[in-house]
Amino acid sequence: MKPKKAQSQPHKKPTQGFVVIASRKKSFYVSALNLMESIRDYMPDAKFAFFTEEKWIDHRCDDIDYVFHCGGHVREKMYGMANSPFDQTFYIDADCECEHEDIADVFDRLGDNDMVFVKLTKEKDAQRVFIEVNFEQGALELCGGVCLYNSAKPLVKEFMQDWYELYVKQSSGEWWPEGYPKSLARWDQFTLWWLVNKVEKYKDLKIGIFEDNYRWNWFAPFGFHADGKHKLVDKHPVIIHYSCFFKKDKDY
Amino acid sequence: MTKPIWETPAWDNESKTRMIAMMVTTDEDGKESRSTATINKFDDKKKINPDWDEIITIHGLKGIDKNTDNRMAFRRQKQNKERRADEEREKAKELERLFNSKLACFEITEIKNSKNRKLRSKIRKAKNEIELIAYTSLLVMEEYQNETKESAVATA
Repeated sequence: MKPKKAQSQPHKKPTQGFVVIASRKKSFYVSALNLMESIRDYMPDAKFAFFTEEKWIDHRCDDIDYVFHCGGHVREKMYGMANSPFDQTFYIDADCECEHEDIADVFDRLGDNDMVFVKLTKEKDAQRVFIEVNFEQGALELCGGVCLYNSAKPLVKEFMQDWYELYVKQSSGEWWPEGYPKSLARWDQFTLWWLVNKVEKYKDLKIGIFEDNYRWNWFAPFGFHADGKHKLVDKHPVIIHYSCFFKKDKDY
Repeated sequence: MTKPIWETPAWDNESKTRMIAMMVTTDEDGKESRSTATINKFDDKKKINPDWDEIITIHGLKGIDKNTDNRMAFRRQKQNKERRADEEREKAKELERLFNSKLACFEITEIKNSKNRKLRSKIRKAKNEIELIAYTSLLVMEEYQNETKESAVATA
C-alpha cells in the first residue's frame, strides 16, 4: 500500500536543553562545569546554555553549545531562565550534580505542563533543611533549585523575565508587598510564590510537580537511612543539590 | 504547697538504695509543678527515709522494677537514636568533603586540561576519598606521560 502523502508540514521537534548559571563566585563556575559534565556522563548529546561571567570563561567552555555572558547579581539565574535558547528547558542550580541516567528522559516529564517544579514537603527531614517555608498567607512550596519549563511559550518566558525583574526589585528593597514578613525578602522563592499566586496574568499557567519529587532536587543535608539509602526518595536521586554543603567562598 | 505525689519511681543504683522519681507538687493557687527527684533509702542518721516508705507502699517493688525496665529501654532507645543521628551527620560530612575535594581535583591543571572523559567520570563518581585520589593520580600520570611523549617526539 502506498503511504499517504502528508497533509501538512511535519511537526518540528522542539529543541531541548539545559540552562546552567554561574555568577558572583568562581566556585559556582567550577561546580557548574562539573554539573554539565555529570549530565553528559548519562546523556552524551545533552545541549547546554551556560550563563556566566566573562572573566572566568576558559577552554572548558569550548564544547558548550551556548555560552552567554551575565552580570554578577545574586539572581542572574532568572535572567538565564528567561533567555533560554531552547524550546524546552531544564534549569538546574550550579551547585548540583547529576547521578542518574533518568536525566536522559527529563523532557518527557514536562507533559502538557508549562512548568514543572520540585515541591517542598512537610516531612521532618525536609523541614529541617528549609528554614523559612510557612508564613501567614501561604507557603514557599515550589523550590526554585530546578525547573523544567516550556520556554517556547511566550507567557512562560514573560513569567521568567518578571521573576527576574521582580526579584531584583525585591532584593534591593524597591518592592515589597504590605503585610508580608520582611524576612522572606531574601528568597527568590517568595517572588515565585507571588507570581504564581497573586498575579492575574499567570493564573492559568499549568504548573506541575515532578512525580518522584525530590529525586530531581535531592538536598545533601536530607541525609541517609541506616542502610545507606537516600532519605525522602524511593530510587537513587537524579540531581544532588549540595547547597549549604558547597564551599562557595573557596578560591579556585 | 500540698504533699508531693510520686510518679514513675525507678531504681537509680544496682543495690536498690536509691530511687529516681517524678515529684509532683501543687501550690495554694492550684498550680502544679513537676521535677525529677532523687530519693535515698536512708537519711544521714541511717534511718529509713519516710518518702521512701511511702513510694514503696504506693508503687510496690514490682512496680518500681517495671518502671526501671521501662526507663532503661527508653534510655537505650535514646542512645540508639543519638548514635544514628551521629552516623548520619558523619555521612553527610563525608559527602560534603568528597564533593568539595572533587571540585578541587578538577582544578588541577592536568585534570582541567584532560579530555579523557572516562577517567574524569570515574573521578566524579568516586565513592570515597581513596577512590578519588586513585583516579585523580591515574589521570595526572596519564597526562604527564602524554606530555613527555609529545616533547620527546618534538625533540626527535
